[in-house]
Amino acid sequence: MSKLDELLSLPGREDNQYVEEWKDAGGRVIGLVCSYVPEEIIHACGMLPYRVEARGCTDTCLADVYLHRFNCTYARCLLEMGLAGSYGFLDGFCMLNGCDQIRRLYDIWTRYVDTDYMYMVTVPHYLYDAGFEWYKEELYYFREHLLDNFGARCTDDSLRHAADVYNRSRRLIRELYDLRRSEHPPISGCDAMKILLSSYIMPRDKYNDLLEGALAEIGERDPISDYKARIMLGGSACDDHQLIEIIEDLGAVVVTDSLCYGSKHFLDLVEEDGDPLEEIARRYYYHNPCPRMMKEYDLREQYIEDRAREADVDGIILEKIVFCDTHGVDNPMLVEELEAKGIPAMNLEIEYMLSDVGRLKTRIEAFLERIARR
Amino acid sequence: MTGNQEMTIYDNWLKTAEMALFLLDQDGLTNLDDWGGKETVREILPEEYQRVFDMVQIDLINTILKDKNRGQAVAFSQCLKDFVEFAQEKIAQGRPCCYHYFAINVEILLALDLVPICYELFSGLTSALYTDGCEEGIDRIEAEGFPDHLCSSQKGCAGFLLMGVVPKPDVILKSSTPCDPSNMLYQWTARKYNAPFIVLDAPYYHNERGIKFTIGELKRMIEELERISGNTLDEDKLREYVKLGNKSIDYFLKLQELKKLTPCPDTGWHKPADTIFITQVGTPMGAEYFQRIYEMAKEKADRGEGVIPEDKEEIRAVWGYTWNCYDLPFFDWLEEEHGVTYLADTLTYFSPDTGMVDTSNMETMLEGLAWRRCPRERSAPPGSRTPWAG
Ligand code: SF4
Ligand code: SF4
Repeated sequence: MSKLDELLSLPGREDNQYVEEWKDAGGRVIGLVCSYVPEEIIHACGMLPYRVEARGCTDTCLADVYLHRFNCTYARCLLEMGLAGSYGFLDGFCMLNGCDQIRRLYDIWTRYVDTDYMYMVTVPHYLYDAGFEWYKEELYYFREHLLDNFGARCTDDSLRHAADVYNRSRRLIRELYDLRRSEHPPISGCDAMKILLSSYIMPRDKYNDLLEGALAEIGERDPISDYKARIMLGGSACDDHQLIEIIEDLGAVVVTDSLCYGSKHFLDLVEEDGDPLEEIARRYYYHNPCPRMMKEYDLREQYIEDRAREADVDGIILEKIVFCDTHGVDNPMLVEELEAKGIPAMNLEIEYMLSDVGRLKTRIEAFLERIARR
Repeated sequence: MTGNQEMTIYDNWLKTAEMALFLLDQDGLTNLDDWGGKETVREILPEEYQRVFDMVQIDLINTILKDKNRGQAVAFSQCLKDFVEFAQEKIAQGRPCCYHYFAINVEILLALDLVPICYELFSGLTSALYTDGCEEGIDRIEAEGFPDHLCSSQKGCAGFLLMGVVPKPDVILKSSTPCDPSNMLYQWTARKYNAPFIVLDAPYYHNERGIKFTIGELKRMIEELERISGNTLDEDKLREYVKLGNKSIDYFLKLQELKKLTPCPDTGWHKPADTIFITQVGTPMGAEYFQRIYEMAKEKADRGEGVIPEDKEEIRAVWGYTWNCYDLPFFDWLEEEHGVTYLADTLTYFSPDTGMVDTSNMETMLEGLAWRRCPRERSAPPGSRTPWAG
């Protein structure tokens, strides 16, 4: 199988041989949610960071016992998979106070899912010096806690090495985004998403080697030229390519995004000079903010506008999972202000387990009719 | 049509408080039906009260007219009247309006001569008083494209702002707890009304580290508010308000102690509405309200009296988190029909270790206010590493 095919197929496979091999070799796996938990620290402690996802979840019978129907389906699906034993391979799980839903998920997971080690990193709610100091201390405690619990070792050198590994990923992924941005992109948004998703669920150095080869293969592909419109996707947690597939099946091409499983997770590098833990903290704390950061709307809007303009998009689709209050408020504000700047945008309510596909198609089609270039 | 669009919400509340005091002053009126029903009573009301009389929940009027509830109703209406007049007077003087989340130390805002306006109160009290609640506000904000699943307590006020029936904010102050809907709609409000937005980050842990962080946050907040208000925080002035706050908390805690007695000597209908005066800890109205409520319960307790019918067995209830603020008569009905007394809810509960703020100097006051903020932020037990709600 080619390197590209390997990355494209991994997120959809039932078995993940990378995790199996890691575990067989006696390695530990630490789950994480959200892009404010630094993978570098886990990596530097000699463990595998694994960003949990709920892809493939088809119902929430088990989770509905503990999380109400008015909790977002992303959180409920995560819990469903936890309760069903899909995350039995985790040796630990680190969450954060990202939003109310994840905060409650932490409590319930701790109580009802059989994960031995649970940890919560707390992140202040906007960008300022005292907040940064708090967050830095939190990461320091997190590292100490991992060391205490797992008897691991973590030196400044191993942190620096981890930062190098993840920075290399970020640079390669930037190349992928550069390819996507071209007038005739050689890769669909759907495939690009699968490549990103692979990064979260395998050792990162292996991923980097695969991605380097895959980028060369992508360069050889026939470019996509017969699209109706260039789309940017943003909004609530999206660890699945299905929505992108729907958009692209309707004749558009998704050329960039502002998703936390997408560009937001990969832009911004860790500074190589300086105290490595501090620089890792700086990168994660100050990276382009999610809506849970209360005073940072302007930065979010600017981030979206920059990505949209550099990729020359015709329109932006901001999806919002039902009961996601953060994006529920952010999206209408963004739509209003982006439209006023001449960038067409729509707010699309979805369920994490994609349903009501007919309605989604109708709304997306209507949007594409409005913005189509051909 | 609720009438919200005709007058400001403050005007409505003021007239409602005056109308209630007028009715409570009528000897022998313990139920509207005693005097020929709603329409007949409406006729005896001065004209200026008839409009709000049409808006108010009739069950609520009948509840407060009952002998056992009258005392608290008078205290509530009088303090509500004072509270609105205080705010209106300050606004008329051109003092900046500071919208704030309800778990904020208003003592500091008062000492800086800002007008503290609790955002959630507009929806909460409007729902408690009027048949149509804050529906108009909710419809108005949802029309902006915001989802129906956002909390109604937040949507109501945001909608009222758009309707122009509440004062415009000059500054917005929000703690980062307890929830996404409030964090998000406060942001929207600040942006929409171009008001400075101050976030008071919650420290996540109820321990020394958390308190140190909170004190830092309070100091940063004060600096920003001083800049906005053009006033400097005066130690003596702050002390005055902190003492009033201490007085409120003292009575509140004493009332909580009394509620441990069986029979419970305090009625339940006013308990959700106490939230209003919890947002007024630090004002003369807050102190007076809790003193009067306490003294009434104390008199009953001294006589060994309860608040449920004699033939009923007392069922002592604690309410998890929040309450049905849109239906205060419900709690009276529970007492009368089922003997259910209302001991506490987690929203208006102060833990016994809340303590008095030491007024020796600025540092002790800020430290005390920081500690007091913690339980109000629904913290974990002292020393716990469990994060707070944020
Ligand atoms: S989709 Fe929204 S509500 Fe759900 S976990 Fe993410 S931010 Fe929270
Ligand atoms: S804590 Fe709950 S009731 Fe209070 S504002 Fe937030 S969502 Fe509404």
